[in-house]
Amino acid sequence: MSQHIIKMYNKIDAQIRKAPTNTSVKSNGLIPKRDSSDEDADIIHYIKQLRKMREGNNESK
Amino acid sequence: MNPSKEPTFDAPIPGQSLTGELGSKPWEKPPKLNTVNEVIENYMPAFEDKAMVTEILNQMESGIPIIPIVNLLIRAGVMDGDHTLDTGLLAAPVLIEMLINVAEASDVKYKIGNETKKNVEPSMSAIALALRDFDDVEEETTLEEEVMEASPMEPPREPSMGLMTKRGEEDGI
Repeated sequence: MSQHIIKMYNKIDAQIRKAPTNTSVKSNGLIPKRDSSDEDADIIHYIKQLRKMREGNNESK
Repeated sequence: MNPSKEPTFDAPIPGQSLTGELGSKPWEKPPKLNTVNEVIENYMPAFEDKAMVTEILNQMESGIPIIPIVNLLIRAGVMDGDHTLDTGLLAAPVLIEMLINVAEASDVKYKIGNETKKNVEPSMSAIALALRDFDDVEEETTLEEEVMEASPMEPPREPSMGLMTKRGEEDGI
């Protein structure tokens, strides 16, 4: 389980570090395509916010 | 027989978990939280609880990396039936970042747990293997030396110059 968490963390960390690219294709059908990038985007957003908070705290020290 | 190796019968019988009624355990029921956002929001109040944060910081100070702590939190959530394992796994990076923030805010040294070991010390088994190979090489070299000593190279024969010497032998043919 820890190995899976490490993989997940490293993957998200790498996505944050690299330049943002939007490769998701929106479907025109009634049923939207299942896209993991939406969930990833939420996580990335959270992590970016947390890192910003940390940087702010470190600067104010 | 070694008493420590005696079989213990104080353990569940294989398949015992399947004998309970389906849905009797919290993790067998549908999870209370279905999305990653809900899971993250579920864990946020835990980081505001002073007693919980102190406990986690104590663990970090004692050298436990953050990832096993997050692993424990997620497993506890799954056991309580709060969320599934996969949504917990997706929320794990956010929890790691939260714990890093908590540790840095309270000046506690921490390890994430994903650091790669650069100078890996050889294990005892590797050392033993290397020593065995070294001994084998030494034995081979000593054997070769013994063989060399036992059969020294014959000195080149000097051509005999006697009267009864054959022509070919004289010429060294």
